[in-house]
Amino acid sequence: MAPDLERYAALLDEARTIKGVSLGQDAWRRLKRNRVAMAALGFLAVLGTLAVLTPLLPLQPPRYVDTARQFAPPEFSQPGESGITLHSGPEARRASLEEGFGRLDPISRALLAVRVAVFRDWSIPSICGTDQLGRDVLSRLFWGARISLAVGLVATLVSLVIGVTYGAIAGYLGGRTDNLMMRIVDVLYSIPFIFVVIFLVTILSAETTRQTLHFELPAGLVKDFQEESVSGQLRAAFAEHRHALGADTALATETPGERWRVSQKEGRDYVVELDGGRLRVVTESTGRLLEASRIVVFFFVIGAIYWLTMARVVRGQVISLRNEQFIEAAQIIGASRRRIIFLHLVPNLLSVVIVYLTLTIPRVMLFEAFLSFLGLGVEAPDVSWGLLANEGIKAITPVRIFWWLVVFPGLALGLTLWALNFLGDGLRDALDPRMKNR
Amino acid sequence: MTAFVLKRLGWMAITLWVVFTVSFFLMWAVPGGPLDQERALDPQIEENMRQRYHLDDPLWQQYLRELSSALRGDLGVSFRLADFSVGEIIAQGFPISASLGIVALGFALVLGMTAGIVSAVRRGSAADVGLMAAATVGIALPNFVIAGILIILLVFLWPLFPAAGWGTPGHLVLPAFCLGAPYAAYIARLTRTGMLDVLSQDYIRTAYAKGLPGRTVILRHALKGAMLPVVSFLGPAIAGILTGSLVVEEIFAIPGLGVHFVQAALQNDYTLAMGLVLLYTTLLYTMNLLVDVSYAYLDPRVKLE
Amino acid sequence: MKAMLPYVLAGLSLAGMVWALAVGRLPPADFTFTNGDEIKTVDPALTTGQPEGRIVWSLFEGLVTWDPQTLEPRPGVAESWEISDGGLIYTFHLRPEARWSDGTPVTAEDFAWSFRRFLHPATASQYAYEMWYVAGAEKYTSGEVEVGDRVEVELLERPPGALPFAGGKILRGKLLAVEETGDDGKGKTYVVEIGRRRRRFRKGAGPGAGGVEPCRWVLYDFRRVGIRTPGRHTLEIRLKHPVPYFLHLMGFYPMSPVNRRCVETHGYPAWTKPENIVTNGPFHLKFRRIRDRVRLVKSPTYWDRENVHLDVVDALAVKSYTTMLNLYMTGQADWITAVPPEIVPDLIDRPQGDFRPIPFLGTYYYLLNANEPPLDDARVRRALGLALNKKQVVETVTRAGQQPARSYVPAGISRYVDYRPALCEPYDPEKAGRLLAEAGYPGGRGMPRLEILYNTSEAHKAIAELIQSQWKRNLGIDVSLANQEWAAYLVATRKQNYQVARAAWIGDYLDPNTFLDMWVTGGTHNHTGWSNPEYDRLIDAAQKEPDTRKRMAYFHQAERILMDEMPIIPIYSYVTQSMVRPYVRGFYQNIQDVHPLKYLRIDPEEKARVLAEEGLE
Repeated sequence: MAPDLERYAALLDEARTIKGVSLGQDAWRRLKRNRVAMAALGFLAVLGTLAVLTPLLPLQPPRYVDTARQFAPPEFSQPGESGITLHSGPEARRASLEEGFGRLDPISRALLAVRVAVFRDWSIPSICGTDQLGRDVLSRLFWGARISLAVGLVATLVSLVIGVTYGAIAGYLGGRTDNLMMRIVDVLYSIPFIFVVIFLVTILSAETTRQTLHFELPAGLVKDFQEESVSGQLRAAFAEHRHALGADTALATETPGERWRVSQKEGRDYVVELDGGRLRVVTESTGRLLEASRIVVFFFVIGAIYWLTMARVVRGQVISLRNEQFIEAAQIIGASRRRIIFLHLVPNLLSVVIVYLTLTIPRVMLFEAFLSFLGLGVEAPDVSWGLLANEGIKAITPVRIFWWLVVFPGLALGLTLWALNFLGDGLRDALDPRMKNR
Repeated sequence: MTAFVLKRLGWMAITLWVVFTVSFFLMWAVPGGPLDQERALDPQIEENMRQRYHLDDPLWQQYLRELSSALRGDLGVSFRLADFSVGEIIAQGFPISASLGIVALGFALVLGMTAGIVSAVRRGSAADVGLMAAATVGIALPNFVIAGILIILLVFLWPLFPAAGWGTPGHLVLPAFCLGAPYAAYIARLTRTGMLDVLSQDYIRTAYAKGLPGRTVILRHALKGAMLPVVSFLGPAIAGILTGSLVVEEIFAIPGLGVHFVQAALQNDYTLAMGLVLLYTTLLYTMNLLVDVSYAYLDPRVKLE
Repeated sequence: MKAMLPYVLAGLSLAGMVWALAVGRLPPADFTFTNGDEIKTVDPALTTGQPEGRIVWSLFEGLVTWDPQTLEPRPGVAESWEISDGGLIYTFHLRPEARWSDGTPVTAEDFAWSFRRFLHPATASQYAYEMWYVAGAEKYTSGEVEVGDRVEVELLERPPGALPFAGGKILRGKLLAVEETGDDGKGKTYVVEIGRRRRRFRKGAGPGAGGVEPCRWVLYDFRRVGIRTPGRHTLEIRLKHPVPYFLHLMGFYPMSPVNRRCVETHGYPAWTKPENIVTNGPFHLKFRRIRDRVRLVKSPTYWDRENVHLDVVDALAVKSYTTMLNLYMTGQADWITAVPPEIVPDLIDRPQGDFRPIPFLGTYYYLLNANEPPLDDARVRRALGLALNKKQVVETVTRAGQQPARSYVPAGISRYVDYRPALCEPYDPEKAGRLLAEAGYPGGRGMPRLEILYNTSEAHKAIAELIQSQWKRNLGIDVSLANQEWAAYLVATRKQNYQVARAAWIGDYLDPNTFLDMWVTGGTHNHTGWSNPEYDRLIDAAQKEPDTRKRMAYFHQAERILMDEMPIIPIYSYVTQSMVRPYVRGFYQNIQDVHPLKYLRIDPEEKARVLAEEGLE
């Protein structure tokens, strides 16, 4: 008896030391062995980091126009033009920074401030040449990377969310609902998306008609020009005319003096001033149907095109998963359908989804380049890789070739998409459950 | 089989109707009607034109009118190319785009499949890596960049091909290459994957064991199975070629439908845009149908439902 | 069977390819040129732009033609003319040997009918306003009639024996009353006295009801419009007031005649098809391949065919500048009408000397929406103009030798007409800053963000980006950019949905009027919303003034007002962009960049030499 017990005890001890290998760890190990995929991953990680940290890098300002240096070929010796005036007051410095870099969000502004503090006004020379307006190509590549990668990522994520949800629901419910949902996908597949995109971009960029508001203060109300009293009168006048401006109109003092800003909830701004006895509207902000730049439009519109493939793939996967035992077990326990779909199915779809993610991002970025070719891409002075590639192509003529305008954006696009594709391939191989433990 | 095809055709009719309706309302939602020109029309003249084109009727009436004429095959007269009816424009441009597309696809298939097969057979070798890397270049660059580079190299540096236009076989080479390159890349990768799958199957091992030469094994036995993923990709590939042709046709000045596609949408040429949308949908649907049918031919295990 | 599938597919594709290429093959043309984007139409009454103009000028011939060098009117279908009654009456004598391509002679009645069609509101011709100098023409086109006018009523039925697309029967009479028939949208009932009876008419298609007859149109009687045909080959035109450039205008391409029988037999658009079309010009239409080419062949019936030297001409429809240049460089095109702006200096330096830009009758300018604050303040507008470095634009972006424009009328017009444009102030950023401060925005503070709208094009984008940086640097103001496709851009400018918009204007004839009459209050092209009654008065006076010196003085004063108030900022005057092979003879540079095909010919030895030199077959 005793030797059996010992044997069992030894077996038990041994069993405890064996650690199960999860699919994720297994996959990661396999991926590490794929050298090309790891190189791609490394490249993309570096690119992503640099893109985020671009304001920190000592690059020339991407919007700084200096036509004396137009079409300059790449060169290494002369330090770059930074266009940053350090010596005049902070006002001038802020203006020069804004001219060169545009209005930035707070984080980027902070990074930019650090860069100015560390590097002063030195910047990397134009090793990628300059374009028609003398702007440095290298810096435009980096700033363009931010937008191109952002569009790629966010649009793909949008398509992912829509596609996974749709496909998971269709696949799980099965039967006629599934049939109907897939037929809808078929129908949508047949619609030439180029029309959809053009229409959506055009509609969403359309200007709504502008209104001009004039209303009069009752005579005698304006007695003198002390700020306080005038603003009091202004408030009184607004109280009376609130209905003309619409609900949720707020009044705030913008600058000391005679101007006040009136903000409305939808984001329409009016700057008004007193002119004799009249309240005159000096300006009105642009009323677009969507108060957003084209970039945001892209995020949703492009994402809305690519979800179809994702939905199909996810549905296929769900159908094969549906019959697995662990789903059956969950159903027996009495888990709700929603819980099963989102808590059990979706995590198991991760591998498929990740692979398609890395393969959709390149398609999205190429589509953005296509839109730039048509003139529907991001609007100047924003810059994206598609826009740069497009400008470069227009510069290819039989008489003279400004090769750096094509080669560098082409390289940037090509390398990134190449890396994404290789990574996607590697992930697909790594996550293939048939290869487990191989 | 017949029932299957008929059911699919029925769905095609429904799809066409949905596409027609959605496009119709989308086009009318865009600001800027077809009558907008640089010189503002005299109000009386504008009113007359609106009457002639029935632009003032309630939207649903215009919709029904267009639907009924579309069903009769009358797609109307183009707004932008005023001398031509939509049918005439399509009749002129379609053969050209189609032949360009066919050549591009053929090139993509031949080059892609060859690369994929070689890659799969010599898996892991330098040839494999090299070919797959080259294939990825096709996917990684926008086709107008590829076109520009090719023009520099093959039209000006070494004058082998004409720069633009249509008429001789030489005119066909560069545009077809630019158009087909991304699809060659996809096909190469798909073939490789499919081939790898098939090569690990038992019946291939049997064939080798029987002593058949490698080439016979691959081409006669393995290829059919490996073609399945390629065949299912053909549908979207054709769709993509039709739209990708826009860029290529503009750069190489080829008088096909690709340019009409986008110009019609951008210039609010409603009638032409509608006609092309319907054509495109029909093509895509037919291609998908053919693909599904050939799927059944190629893989006896597949049953058409 | 299954194994055959790939071979069957391959065979089919090959067959398809061969077929498409066979269709594409063509015998070569004598002369090939690029003609911009695909033309809209060959119907002269419906044309809109230069590309159509080139084709129409080759297919049709009007009363006069323009001398290829001086642009002066020369005899066309009219072999001689007289001007009388203080410049109000033009009598044209048509040459009897002028023929249509179907062999019938060209008569004065052809012109009268063509002009009627041109002015008829149903045609909706965009250039109709150019003929409104003719007495009664504007009223005819407007379709408005007043009680007491003589009117023509066009019925729904055609006269017996009329051709399928002829107009309805015309009744003429006097309008007695106009009754509004309520608000059901059916409009008015016209009470017309015809002969001795009073008849009532309503426009529309439905059957008549209650004694009201349906009709197509009720218009001012065309017999009251100043176009008469006293003889078979005599055409008399009476104007409202003297127009010095009227003869020149009669050579403008929309004024070409069309063949009545052809139009009425086939209707539009069928009559424009090569198998149907009847033309009277130096060339005939062989075929049109959309977005490929228009092929013209020498007309065997043209009266001056001895002097036409080209047999087959191809007009290629190419949009991209780079492609145009590629075609030129590879010998596939002999003349291209535009070049990529980035390499213009290299092209000017070419030893072959085939690119020599000269001033062109057009101005590139920015529109300012004078109804939008802060642009409604003239000081702000002037400040923007003063802060715009036009020299930098032409030297670094356009680079083809364009001149910075200090006036709206291009300075080059002075070589053809005795007009001195009024100049605006030269580039002065300090003064601009002072003006802006005066207007209440010192250093640009408080100035709202302005948006520059332009139609999608690389060239406009580059210019807008440069100006954006100039205004930022010189005035400290924020500027954003927006581009829209041509159609949407037109809508936006027309509806004044913009703040700053890029625009351009090309003169139709050699007179300051073509530039300056745009800006009168409510003018159809006045997209700025600017209005100045003194300006209106001066333009009106200039149009009616018979004495040339005084006319030009009025125009000068008007332009002075325009430059002082600056609702538009002229940026540069265009230059021609034609690039042509030296072996093409009869090609002369002129300010309107008009090169009639009739006068061109190829020197074969020179051509062989040039092609050999460049290494082309």
